[in-house]
Amino acid sequence: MRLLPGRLLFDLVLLVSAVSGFWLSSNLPAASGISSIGAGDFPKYVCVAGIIIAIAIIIQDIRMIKAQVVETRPLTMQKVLSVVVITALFAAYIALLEVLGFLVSTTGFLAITTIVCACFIKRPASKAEWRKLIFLAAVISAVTSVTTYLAFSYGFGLIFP
Amino acid sequence: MDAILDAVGMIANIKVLFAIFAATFLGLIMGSLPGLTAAMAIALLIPLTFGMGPVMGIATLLGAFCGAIAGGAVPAVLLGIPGTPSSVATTLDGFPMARNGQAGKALGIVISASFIGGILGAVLLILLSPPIAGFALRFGPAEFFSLGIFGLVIIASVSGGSMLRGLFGGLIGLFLATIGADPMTGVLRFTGGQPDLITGINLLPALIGLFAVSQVMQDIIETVNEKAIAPITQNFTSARPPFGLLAKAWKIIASSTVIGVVVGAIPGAGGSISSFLSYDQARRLSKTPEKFGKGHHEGLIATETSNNATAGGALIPMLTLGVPGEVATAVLMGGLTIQGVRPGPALFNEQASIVYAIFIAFILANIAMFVLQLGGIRLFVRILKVPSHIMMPLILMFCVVGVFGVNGSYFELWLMFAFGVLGYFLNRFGFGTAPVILGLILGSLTESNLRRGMIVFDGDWSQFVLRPISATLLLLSLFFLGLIIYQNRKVPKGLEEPQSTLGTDKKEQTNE
Repeated sequence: MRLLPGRLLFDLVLLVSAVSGFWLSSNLPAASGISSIGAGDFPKYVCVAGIIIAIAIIIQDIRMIKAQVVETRPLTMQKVLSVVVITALFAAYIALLEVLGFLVSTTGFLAITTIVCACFIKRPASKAEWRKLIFLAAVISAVTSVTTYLAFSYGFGLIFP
Repeated sequence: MDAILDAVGMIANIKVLFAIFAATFLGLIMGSLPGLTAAMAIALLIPLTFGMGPVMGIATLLGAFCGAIAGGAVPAVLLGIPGTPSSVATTLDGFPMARNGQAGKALGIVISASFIGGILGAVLLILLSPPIAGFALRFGPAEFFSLGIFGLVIIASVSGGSMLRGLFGGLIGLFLATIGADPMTGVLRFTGGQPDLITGINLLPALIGLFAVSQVMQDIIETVNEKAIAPITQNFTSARPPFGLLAKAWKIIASSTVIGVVVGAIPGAGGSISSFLSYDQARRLSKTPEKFGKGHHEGLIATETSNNATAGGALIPMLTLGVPGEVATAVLMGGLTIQGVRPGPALFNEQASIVYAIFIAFILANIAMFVLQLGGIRLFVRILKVPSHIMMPLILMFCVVGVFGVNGSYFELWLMFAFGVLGYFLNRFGFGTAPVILGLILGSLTESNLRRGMIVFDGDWSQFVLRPISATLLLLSLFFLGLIIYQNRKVPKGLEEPQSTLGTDKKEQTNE
């Protein structure tokens, strides 16, 4: 069975990262004074080890292709979409936290993400189920946001936007 | 003696006791939910401990640690799905026992065995830590450097998936630890002009991103299109401790405790390994080995005793050497470091009262775990029914609250997000996240001791291999590295991504 291209691509990204790290470390000042190890030396050693290991991993993965060993379980498009959408929602939540404030952004994030997760896991089959899902998502989100805000602000003294 | 009395004084405080119980309760809930881990429970609680003093903060984290390790047994028995990787072996006899209509008996056994294992593990922790710490006081920069390398190699070897990948994960952590101003020369390293990175990468967003955010992303994938499994609760009314059965199984309890503590003390090993070893040992000691795997109480006693004894064992290298015994203790160590308590041999000399406070808090957390599980088992069963589409957004929200609430830094939120995405891909492609966090924690220790050693030894590298303890640790590291290379000459097995414990796949992962 073929390796998923994603695995090999990720290995290559790691190799390129290790090489970049080595190059950046080389631009740091060399050792001076009584220490024979400068600011860039330790990260350089780490990156050299990383390059060697990354190459070994790539060779290992290529051998896996030839040996036709089953490994990473392939993902369906729905699963890929689910994690991409939830991740995007999470990023939007972080981005809007400062703009909208904690209460509004958190309530919105919880409600939308709950509905989206429910759709991916088990899509509601009827209008009644949709209504129930939306109602529950709205109530749970609002109650949770307000409770969290009050508990952490007044209970733990944390400051939210 | 003064240190012990000071410690008792620190712990004998209603707020500290409440914190232990509350954190143990939260840990039990987190451990009970498949897909959530002990490491995640600790990582999410760390921000809450910022406003507490060090003793209360540490006691809180220990409570979450004990609770989460023990809580994983509930879904293992009722769903056949381990709540945490340590509870995988518990499913072997726990789930069949529940299916045979003995769910209450099974839960009574796991609760009691967990308690006994936890307390015995705590006793061994208290007895063994001081002499080990005394030995570790002989460590100098060369020894600490070698210890850092050894810790990284070991945890890479049991990180799940390929060991080479685990090693690379450790190197990622080591590199990330160098970001910021160089502590010796003040030169800025890899900050990209970002002022928030001058002081380096804050451990908290890394912990929460790698262990909580990435886990949620994995769980989303696992639950899409999967049928929800209902817990078995027929004939379940209560979970009473079967003291008679436990008394008869004293040999199994003793052997499981020793296995748990010893395995837990080996950096990189964890409850999942010790519980299987104990299960195997119990089968050998049993007069009815043919009953194992069909709902036999001895199998259940062995796995849960060992599982919780491992927690005590894992604290030994963490407290005495500053090297975590397994993944959850790596996160716990991060929490202690953030509280200003640096684990290691010096801790026993400079802050002995804190050490004894940790011992007492650990014992109290085990007592709290026992009391809460006995009294609240129906609640934990009900929690299993909370739908994942509600739980997952809540966890993400708590991640944001935890990270932002501490420093009010939007940059750290994005850092957490980036670590979450990184952690997801690392888990997906078999690298694991535990080696990364260990590299991040041990990175500054390793580099600073290397450079300090070079100054002390006047640039003479050979001192790192001529000093006996340092040489031994480096040789052990080379041995394990050689093992990694040898094992990877064959077509490696287990390159599948570490599976989430949610869903029907029970493959164990070491991200506790």
